[in-house]
Amino acid sequence: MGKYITKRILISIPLMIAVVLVVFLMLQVLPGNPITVMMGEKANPAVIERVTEQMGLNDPVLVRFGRYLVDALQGDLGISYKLNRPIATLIGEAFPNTVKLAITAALVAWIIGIPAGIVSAIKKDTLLDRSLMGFSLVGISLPVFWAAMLMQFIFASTLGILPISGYSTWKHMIMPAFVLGWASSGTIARLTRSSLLGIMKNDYIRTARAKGIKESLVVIRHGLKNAMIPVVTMMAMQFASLLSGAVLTETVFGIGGIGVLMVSAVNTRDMPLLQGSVIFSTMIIILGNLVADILYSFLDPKIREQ
Amino acid sequence: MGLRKIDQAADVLADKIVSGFAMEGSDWIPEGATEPVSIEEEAEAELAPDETLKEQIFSMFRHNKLALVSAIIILLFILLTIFAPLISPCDPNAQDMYNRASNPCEGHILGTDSLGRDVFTRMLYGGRVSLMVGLLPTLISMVLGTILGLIAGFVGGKTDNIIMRIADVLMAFPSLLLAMLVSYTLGKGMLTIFIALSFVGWASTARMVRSEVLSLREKEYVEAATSIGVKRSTIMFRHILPNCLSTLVVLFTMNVPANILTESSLSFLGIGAQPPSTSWGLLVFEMKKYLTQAPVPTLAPGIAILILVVAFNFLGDALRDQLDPSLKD
Amino acid sequence: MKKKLFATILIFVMILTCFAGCSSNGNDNNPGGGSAVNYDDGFGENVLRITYDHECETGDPRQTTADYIIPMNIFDTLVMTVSTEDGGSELQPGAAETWEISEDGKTYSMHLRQGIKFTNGEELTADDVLYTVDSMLDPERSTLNSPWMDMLVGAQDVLDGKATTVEGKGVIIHDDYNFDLVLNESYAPFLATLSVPGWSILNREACDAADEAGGGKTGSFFGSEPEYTIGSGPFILKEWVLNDHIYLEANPDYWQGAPKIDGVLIKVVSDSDTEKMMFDQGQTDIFDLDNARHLISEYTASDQWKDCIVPKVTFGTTYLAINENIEPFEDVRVRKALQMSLDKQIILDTLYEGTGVIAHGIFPESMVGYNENLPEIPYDVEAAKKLMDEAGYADGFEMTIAMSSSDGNSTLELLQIIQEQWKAINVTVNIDQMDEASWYDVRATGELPMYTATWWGDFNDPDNFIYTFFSSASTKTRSFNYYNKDAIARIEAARHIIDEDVRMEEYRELEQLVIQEDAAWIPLFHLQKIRVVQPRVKGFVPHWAGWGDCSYYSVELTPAA
Repeated sequence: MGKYITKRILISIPLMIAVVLVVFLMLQVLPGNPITVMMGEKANPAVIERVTEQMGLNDPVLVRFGRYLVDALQGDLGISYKLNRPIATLIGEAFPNTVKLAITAALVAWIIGIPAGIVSAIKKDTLLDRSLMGFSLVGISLPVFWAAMLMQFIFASTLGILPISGYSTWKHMIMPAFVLGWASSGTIARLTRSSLLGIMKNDYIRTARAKGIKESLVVIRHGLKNAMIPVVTMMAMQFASLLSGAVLTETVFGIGGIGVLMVSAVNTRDMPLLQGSVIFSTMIIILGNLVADILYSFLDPKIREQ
Repeated sequence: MGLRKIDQAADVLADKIVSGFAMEGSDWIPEGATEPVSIEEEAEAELAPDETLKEQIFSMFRHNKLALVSAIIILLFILLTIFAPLISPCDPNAQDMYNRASNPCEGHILGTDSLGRDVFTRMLYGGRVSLMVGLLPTLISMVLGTILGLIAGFVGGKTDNIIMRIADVLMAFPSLLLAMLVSYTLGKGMLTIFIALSFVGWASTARMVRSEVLSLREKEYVEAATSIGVKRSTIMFRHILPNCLSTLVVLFTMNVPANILTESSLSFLGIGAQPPSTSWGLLVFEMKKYLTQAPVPTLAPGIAILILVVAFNFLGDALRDQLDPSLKD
Repeated sequence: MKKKLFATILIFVMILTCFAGCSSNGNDNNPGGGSAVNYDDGFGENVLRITYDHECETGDPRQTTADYIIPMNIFDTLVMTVSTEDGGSELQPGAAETWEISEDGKTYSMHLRQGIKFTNGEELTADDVLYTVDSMLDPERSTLNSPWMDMLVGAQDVLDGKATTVEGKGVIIHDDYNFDLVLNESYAPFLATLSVPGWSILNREACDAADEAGGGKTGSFFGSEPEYTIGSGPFILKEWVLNDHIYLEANPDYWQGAPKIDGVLIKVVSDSDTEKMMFDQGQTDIFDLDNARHLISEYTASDQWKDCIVPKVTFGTTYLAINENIEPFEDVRVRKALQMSLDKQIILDTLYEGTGVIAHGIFPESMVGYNENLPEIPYDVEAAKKLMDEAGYADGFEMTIAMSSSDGNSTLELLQIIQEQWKAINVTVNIDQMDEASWYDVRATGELPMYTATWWGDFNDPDNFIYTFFSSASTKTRSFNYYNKDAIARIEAARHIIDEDVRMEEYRELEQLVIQEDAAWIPLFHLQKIRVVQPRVKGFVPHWAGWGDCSYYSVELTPAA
């Protein structure tokens, strides 16, 4: 058990370094000089040449990677070209907004997804099951940006009952949380259902049924406990993915989180910002998966006992 | 023994994570499809799996009306986009500057865009891009993934290690992010999306194929073939690949909608398809600021995406139920 | 088992709550009571609320060439350019009360106003001017605005790292209030350039403190951390919440008198629908319609708003650049045919809702030296076809217009209309969307095919326009590759002419030569900037050149009726 966890953690470290390297290399072969972009229409060749030299952009790639890695380990991710402040500060300011969205969206996903999955499993092959699974499947198939705009049109523009974008009050969070939550709930519902159905084939469930206990009680008392193991694991991973930034939802609703940071970095060609925020996001996902794995090993009696 | 089992469990989970984060929110994987168990059973049951694959699919369409409807919808979309010029008499680029961003009116059943172009016509042409991106990169990434997975599983050792570690790193990225990175490096445009999607997708396929190879390798008939000196490549392609086929079909049907969504999302962010060519995501992006003024042309392309993706997902579900005995009752 | 599961979930929930705690914003002050509008931002009623469509880059005038909203409100310049009644502009004394210019046009003797205080208590003196110049030229800082100062004597040595100061050369200090600025060569528009935001006067002590706090010149807190960003202007940078808002508080000790408003709240709102909704609800006071031109007609047609529209002719010219190195653009007949075959009126009327005028030259209407007798470029497809025929292109040709993909939808819409219009003379246009960095890089090598851009004036002088495009260096780096060497020589000489009347006459002739005879570029529009303001806003004066960023010093807010 302890051995397993140690092994999982040790595997994650080289993975993280590899991720940093990949991101770094990909952004180094960029075709243009960021300084020209910073100056835009007011470009002046002499200034561009001077600033390029000053910022050390003419040094070899490996020298820059070494410098970056050393700085990154000390929490220094460089300074944004466009916003003139430390990337770490920018991420620190944006992350709470992403967290806010992630929490609300995850709650929506769980509140819809888990009961839907359970009911579907109990009422397997009924109309209710089919409509719940249909609803989940539409959630999974939803183009998030489009659903977000549709909601804006209905609830903000037409009915005028919710603010169209922003994130300052709880009212602002309703639409983003619902859009993102619906999309995520589909996964949870389907996994809950299939996991529960899988468990229900086991002998001890058959025994319970044979005793004449009501089907829904069998499910809740005996099935759910074990069926939730993969679901909880999935919830952890899903939460990590939400924490890594919901690019589309944040963009449509103007929520100043990690996702918006990344999109604006792509659009303004702010290389250090893109590099820093992508690495940050990916680290969250790797950590999230690590947590999910460890959680799984705790919950699953088969693994725990070994 | 214990560790190995856990590793397998972790692999399955990791698979879920990866395809899960292919799209924001729609993080879901064909659960059964990744589990090698099903293939073992199947391999034991049939000796000529490719023939039964066809039969099974046909029998599925006979019994599952939803799957049939989905398949018909997909076919209809493909035909509509191929025969776009016959269906709409409009030139997709013809501008009507005095009739910009309008809701449905005479001559424009879905209204016009910001330059007074007919949105229905542009949707027909834009669908070509969306469908192409759904099908082609998925195919490329799966072929690539299958080959690499076969090699990793069969050759083993160092090769296996290298391939799977690269896959690990690729799978650590949310695919939308990776696509954004690629577009930053290679510039915006369809080619970038093609490369990004082909490049990202192979890892999960490779991982799945590899785990199947590992379990099949121990099978008697493979061992027998090896012992009488049949070449490795022959074994791979004659005996092991056909056994992976049904799972690959399911996986393909599941990956296509994921890629359609990724493309439309990237185009919506302005880093996907570039005008004057168009795609459904780009149409929404171009009309974004006219949402209140002209909701119909702004939202219509999104409905097309939704219908197509739902159809693919229903079909994928049905295929999985049919081809994957572990989920059958 | 059950307990363990429960415990895990509990821990999870606790982590979540913890995060939620971090994420709440600390802006819970009550809005000033009794107002007609219930502001949900926590600031008082006598605060001007505006929106900004992206996160502001910096408040440091050395580090930006685009986002000047903070510098223009928190710093002073030596000279100020202000709008005049007739839509033009004039120079007025700023931190410098008076000045004299030597006869050779090289020495500017400046006399500072006494008693101007930075908000850290320091007085604005000649040493601060010297610091402003030295730090702008400092090679250890990656400054972007150095071209405003590199004509000073000794400036190049500082830029090259051969000297650390221009003291005694470019800036000669006589005492705290009197100093000379000395130029290498006479440069007629120099006085006007002293009013650009790049010439904001910084305080030496404040900047040193900001450098030290930020750990050196590259990480300096100046411009990003409010408490370290010290100026002497009408407002003080008070609060900066990234991706949310910037608050500029009135400076009660401002030398022209404290502003009549308590402050300016700049809200970052990236989407025009939200901006519209906030404005309609009275949550913001000024709505800049630049990125929402499709809404202009809605406001002009509305009884409620039609009297609240503030139009401003911009000192800007939107143009199509022609690269004469690319076949067949070396032929003047082809260039003229392209000029004549665009129906600019329909584009102006539809895409820009008629807000602007068609450009026939380089200089906008309200610029000094504007030539009202400049002949128009006619819209005449038949004549254009004839010219194409003469040039041997009766069947047309294929060409490329390159655009930077970051330019966004409105540029793309414009290019797609042009693409359609040129079909009339059989010209097939391909629109090549390049990423921003390569677009600028290729342009700098002189190899970019045709492109469109808008040039915004920095100071009111023709030199700022014509020299930027048709001097020998820039005609290549801006991918014009203008061939007329004689005209180029005259453009470069004109900036040194001391007699103003002679200089302006020369510019009028040059404009006609470059645009009409040589057809070196295709002028499109001088657009207007349109804003709607709430009725409670009085005394709002748009920037003289029509920039989006401007000073809000003159604004007054009347209580809502």
